[in-house]
Amino acid sequence: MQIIANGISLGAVLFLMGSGLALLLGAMGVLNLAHGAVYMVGAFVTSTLAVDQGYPLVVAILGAAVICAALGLALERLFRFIPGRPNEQILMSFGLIYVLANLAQWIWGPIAKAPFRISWLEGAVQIGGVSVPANRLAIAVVGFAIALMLWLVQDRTRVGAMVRAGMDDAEMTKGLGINLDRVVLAVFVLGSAVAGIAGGMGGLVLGANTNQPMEVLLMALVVVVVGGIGSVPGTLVAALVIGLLDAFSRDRFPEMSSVMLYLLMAGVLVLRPTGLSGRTA
Amino acid sequence: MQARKLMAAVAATTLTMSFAACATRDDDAANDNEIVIGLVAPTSGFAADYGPEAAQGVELALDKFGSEAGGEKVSVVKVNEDVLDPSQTLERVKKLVESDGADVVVGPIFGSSQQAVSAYLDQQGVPMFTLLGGDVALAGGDGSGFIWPGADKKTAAPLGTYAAEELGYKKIATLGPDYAYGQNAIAGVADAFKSAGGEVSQQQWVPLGTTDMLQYATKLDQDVDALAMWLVPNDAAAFVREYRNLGIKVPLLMFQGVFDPTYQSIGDELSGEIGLNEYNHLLDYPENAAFTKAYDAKYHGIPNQTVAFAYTVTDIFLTGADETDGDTSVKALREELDGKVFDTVIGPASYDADGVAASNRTVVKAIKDGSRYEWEPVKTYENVGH
Repeated sequence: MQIIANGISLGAVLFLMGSGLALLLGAMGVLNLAHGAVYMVGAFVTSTLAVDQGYPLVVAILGAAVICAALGLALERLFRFIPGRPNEQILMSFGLIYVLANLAQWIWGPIAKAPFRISWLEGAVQIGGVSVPANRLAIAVVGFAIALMLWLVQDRTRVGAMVRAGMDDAEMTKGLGINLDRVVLAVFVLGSAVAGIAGGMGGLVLGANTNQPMEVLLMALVVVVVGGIGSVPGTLVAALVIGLLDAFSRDRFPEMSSVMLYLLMAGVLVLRPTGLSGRTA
Repeated sequence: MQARKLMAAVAATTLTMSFAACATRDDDAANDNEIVIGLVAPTSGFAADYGPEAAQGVELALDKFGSEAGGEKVSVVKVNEDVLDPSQTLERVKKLVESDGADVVVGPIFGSSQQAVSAYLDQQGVPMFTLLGGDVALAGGDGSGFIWPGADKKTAAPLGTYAAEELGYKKIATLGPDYAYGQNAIAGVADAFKSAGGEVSQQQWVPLGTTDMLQYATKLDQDVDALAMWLVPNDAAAFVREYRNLGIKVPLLMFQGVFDPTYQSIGDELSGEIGLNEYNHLLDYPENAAFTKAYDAKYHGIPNQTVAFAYTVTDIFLTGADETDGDTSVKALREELDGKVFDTVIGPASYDADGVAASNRTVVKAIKDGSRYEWEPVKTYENVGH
């Protein structure tokens, strides 16, 4: 049971990391490799507001979401300079990782921030005889709440229908008079805000450091590959599967734990190239 | 199509990471009238703190010597140590030696990097002064290594001895990173503890690059007298946070404690725990007083171990180069340094004929002193390392 609890809590962190990237990929049809850097900015902003300045965690995370949304807005403008050129977009977003990481190092310094300490999230909660740290529980609650919100937006709203239509056939969607550029902008801002929230919540267990853009990018990519593109349920299931697999492998086969995620990714690519959700962009 | 794009992105990520870190040169290319120190330490990734800190230590040593030794000007070239890909570190060290003209390498920090570059440096005859440990196999014979502050398998041993003999512990568990240095350091504690009659009931190893520490806390065998552990500062902070959240009461035996500035952010969670320091700014030695004063004057603060040991090995190298009139060959330095006792920041220390150092270790206790968290010296073990 402890392994399952550990796996679910890790899965919630992974979902927060991967959901924004999955949405952006689905809506834009291109990888924003700077997604992990946006996560990092969210982590540092939350650290500054909640740990250094003493603002309530909720306020700090909302602040991180707003700043990351603004950052997403700026990034989307940059992507518009090279429309329909995925290779250039990938290279540009990769370059942005270094720009943002170095900016973060300039602003917050090279020393990593320890996992954020929030007094009301200290200690553990007993659930079914299993100890679950309160901060992990909070991450899981926020993760599932965001999953629910994204799913409702994507599946139950007119905007969500536009996003799904754009994912399936962008030209046809535009032909129907839908301003797809504006939809893409909205998704970019939303995805970046979620990355900011992910950074803030993830910082409770991972802290903040300038290597996170790469670490988070790789984990988010694994989640997206396994879960499928642009699918909120697929991303959530993938994150939970990966979290559970990681927890199980670290418990039973610790020497193999580092490669298990990538074996899973390779297996999904071979057996089901479109991911668990089965959706194609 | 999307899968292809993703795979291309992963490939691009890997390639670009490979090219990401590059050498920076502080001065013009080396020549016969100049000694070039190549500092190899990580400036990116989970261990990014080490590089800037080691650079501070090297700079302070150069200040002490007026950037001259053996009648030659001394300059520094800094290179990023890739802790996840030692082959990249090797390529950078080759450039450091062949293009930048490095006469000596200070570093690398990680054992895997040291193993990767040592054969090349042996071949080139370029001495490698490690600052945070190393395997004795890298020194002696044709090896180019000068291992500071002592052999990895010996350096943490006093912690195991102290736990058994002074604290009376009978059974411990261990936790350490799953790479050469971590395994050797933890093995030193475990072997010493077992030699003193204790039992090691559980050993957990954390793979390199692991960020989630919860499972190592939940899996701990709590039927032990203590957990002996060593992790890099940020990982240690993450582990201790999980440990405290879960309410685990098993005492910690922390090799190296936790370095500043991370320690200052988690100090109250470690109050009363026992550690073993190789360096501690509170150590009462004249050289340490001078060093901490110089550090505060230049960088305004309190130095940690990485700074102190980068300073120390650069100081010793420059002293040796001064005595050999600028001959920085491994052979000349070995002969010059063999058996010579240096007054260092951790007290008297020496290198043997193989280039392995012996020096003091200090058992410490985590306390709060005013607004600062400190590791208070409790007991000193002398001449540890050979």
